Amino acid sequence: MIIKSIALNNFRQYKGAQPPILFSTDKEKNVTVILGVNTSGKTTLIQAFEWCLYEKVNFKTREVLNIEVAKSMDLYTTQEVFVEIVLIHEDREFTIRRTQKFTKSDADKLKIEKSVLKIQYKEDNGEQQAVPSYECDSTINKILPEALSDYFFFDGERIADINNRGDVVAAVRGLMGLDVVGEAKDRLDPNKASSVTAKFSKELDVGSDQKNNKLKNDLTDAQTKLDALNTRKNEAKDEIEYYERRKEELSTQLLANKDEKHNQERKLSLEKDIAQIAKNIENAENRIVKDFSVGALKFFATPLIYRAMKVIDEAKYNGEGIPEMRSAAIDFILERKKCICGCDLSKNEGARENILFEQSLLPPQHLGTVLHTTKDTYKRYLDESQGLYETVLGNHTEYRNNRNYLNEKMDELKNVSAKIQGNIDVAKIEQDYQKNEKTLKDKRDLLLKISSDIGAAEKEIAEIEKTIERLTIVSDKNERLRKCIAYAKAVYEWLKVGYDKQEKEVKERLLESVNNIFERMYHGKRHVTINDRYQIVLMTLLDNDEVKTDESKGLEAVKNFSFISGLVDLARQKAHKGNDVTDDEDIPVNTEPYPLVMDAPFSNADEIHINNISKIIPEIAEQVILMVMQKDWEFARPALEHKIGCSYSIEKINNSDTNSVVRRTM
Amino acid sequence: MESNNEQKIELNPDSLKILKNRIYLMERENHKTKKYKDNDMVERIRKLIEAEVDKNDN
Amino acid sequence: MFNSDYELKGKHATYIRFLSATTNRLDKTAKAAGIISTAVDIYAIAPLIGLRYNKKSAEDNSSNDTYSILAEQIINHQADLDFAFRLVMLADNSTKLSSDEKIDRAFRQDEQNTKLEENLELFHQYMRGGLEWLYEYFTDGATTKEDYLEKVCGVCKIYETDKVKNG
Repeated sequence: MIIKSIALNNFRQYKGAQPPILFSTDKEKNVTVILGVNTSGKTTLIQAFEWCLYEKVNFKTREVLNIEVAKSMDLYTTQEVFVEIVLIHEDREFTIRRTQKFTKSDADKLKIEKSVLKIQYKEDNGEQQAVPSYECDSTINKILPEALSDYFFFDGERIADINNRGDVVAAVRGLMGLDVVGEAKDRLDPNKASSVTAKFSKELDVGSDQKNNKLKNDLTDAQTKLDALNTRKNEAKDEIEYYERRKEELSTQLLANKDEKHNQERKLSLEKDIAQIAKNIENAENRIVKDFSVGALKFFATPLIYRAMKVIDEAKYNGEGIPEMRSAAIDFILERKKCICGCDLSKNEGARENILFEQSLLPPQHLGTVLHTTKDTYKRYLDESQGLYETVLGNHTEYRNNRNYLNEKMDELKNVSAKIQGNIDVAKIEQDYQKNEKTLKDKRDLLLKISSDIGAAEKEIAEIEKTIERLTIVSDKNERLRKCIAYAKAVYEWLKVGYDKQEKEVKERLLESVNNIFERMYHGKRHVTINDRYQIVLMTLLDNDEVKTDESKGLEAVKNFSFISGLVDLARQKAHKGNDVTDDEDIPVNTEPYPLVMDAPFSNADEIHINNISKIIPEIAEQVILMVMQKDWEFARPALEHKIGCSYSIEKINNSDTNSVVRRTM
Repeated sequence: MESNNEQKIELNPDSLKILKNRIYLMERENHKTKKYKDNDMVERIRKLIEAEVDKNDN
Repeated sequence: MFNSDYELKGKHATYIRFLSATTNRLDKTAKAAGIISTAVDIYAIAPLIGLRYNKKSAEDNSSNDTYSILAEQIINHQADLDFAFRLVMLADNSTKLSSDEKIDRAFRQDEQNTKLEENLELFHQYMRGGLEWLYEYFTDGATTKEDYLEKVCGVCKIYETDKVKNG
């Protein structure tokens, strides 16, 4: 960037419109000197730059309007302050003008309007193109970032550690031409919330991926569970079938057993009956025999009795025995063996027999009586035997009935016995039946539960599938996003690598330059390093260790100056080198040369330093604009004389602090 | 912001090259012209990437 | 008379055993009709049946079977035996005896050994005949107790019918 001119109007002590200060743009004589005494306005020039570009105000009185003008304003009149800078940036001529209007609203009061920044650039065809107002600030920052402005508008008197001001990184980047790459890199930096990558990532439903996978696992689990449940269901069904069949079997058994029991009972009953009947029969048999036996004699005698009675009736039995003679008497006689007549009976058998015969006729067995008795007996017997036949018949009928009854019972017994299976444990069958019933119920309950679980599992699966479907849509989106992120990251990496490489190079070379310059200006056991934030640190080599040291103000100046110079030098080197495109993969880095605008760079420096600095200055910047005090100029002039393209001096009008002009001297 | 179950994503080298060039050029262009605001740039680059991704999926 | 053991021999022993219920009593499995309580009863009844059917039989030697009716039993049934004896003596028509002679035979010859023996022999012959008749009757188409008892009824019926006939 080259500054062509600056024009001031009513800016602080520069009362009225000042003719533009044209700066040397010559390549050889690239130094413009502006001499001025203290308080003449040297610093103000720097400030003019800064106010114009950044609306920066570093002075005590904040108002930029020239005091005299301000004072002389009539009520309700307006005065304007502007600073206009013309510069060339990336081959384009920019005209930057900041204007601020002041209106006297009261005797001592000024209404200050907001300053207005206008930027124009000259198109290729020569036409002026305005930069939209909202882009002005960013345009300026692209030309010369504010953070770095302190380096290029070097205010020697303000030796505040300009190192600590703001973020130099971006500014340097911009200067070094890394800004495009840097911006592109930042645009894709995953760690920056506003980047493309971050935006992709934000849209990435990370949770859903994790959720998705968990759901997929859940789904698999649920499906496995469902399969297991279905298997169990079928098993349960089979079991139920089995137990139902068993139930039927047992039922049949029980039923059969009921008959069996019945039959067994019947059999017992029959057997009891039969035993009884058999007994009855036996009794009847016995009765028949008894009754028959008892009555048989008389009964069978009957026909004979009739015969006998006839015989008895027919008999004429005569020959009664000796009257009044008793059998006992004859016994006596027989006993004494002597008859009444005196006959010896032991010797006379015939006589004895005769006596015996006589005896037989005698009572107690009187024949007539006997016959009579016999006949009575016979009659009696006849009577008594009357009923035998009926009795026997009766007995026999009863006997026969019982016999029939017995046969019936026997038949029945036979039938019943045939039905009887044998030994069956009824109790056990019933127990088995009950056990089976319980098992059957349990299995049925289990089946119900399984079916219910199946229902729940199916529902669960449906739910999961639904959720998965929903998330899959997101997941597909995620897929796409991830791919985008991958590309973005890849491009970012490429940019980063390139940028880092360049930056490393830049830093190295910057450091090299800075140290180069530093060492040329300062001889001592120190050098500088640049940290990541591009802050310059003075290091002292102390017994081979590098130690950060405190700095004197002079040293400060040298340090800062070195940095600036280094920066500028680097920019210049790059500019002259052209685009660093070694191969397709490298990122082209644009840089352009930068001017140095220095105000009292030599204050706080001794003459050696001044001399040293002066020698370097032209070499490191494309364009140098020096604002110096006369006294300092004496030391610098020798080194710079042959480099001066233009020179100006600032003069106070009437020694007024509020009215200065710049007058070209060369 | 990595997800835990990221599969290896294959990048098409041609697509990547295209994106590299076009993004850089887009940035460089915009750096000069300042035509687009940051948000717009983000969107433009997003669309660029998405287009390449879709191209590869189909 | 009728005061000592009486032994039956041969088939008559078998027959009386067959007819006596005592046999069944002693041996339930015995193949006996057992239709009259005791042998002594049969001893008294058989002559009446023998006489009725004019069946006399001599002692049998066809087998070694014997059957003794003990004196105790005979003595207990003396009255019946007496009755049966005298009735047979009176009702027997197989001899050409007059009624008076029959009466004598029935009542007056108890002391006359020879006569008594004859008479008893006659009685026993009828008795044996009666046994045979009974045996034949009770074994005719009868093998079971039921049959035998049926036969009992049958024999009673025969006599009952006779009774009606004789008035």
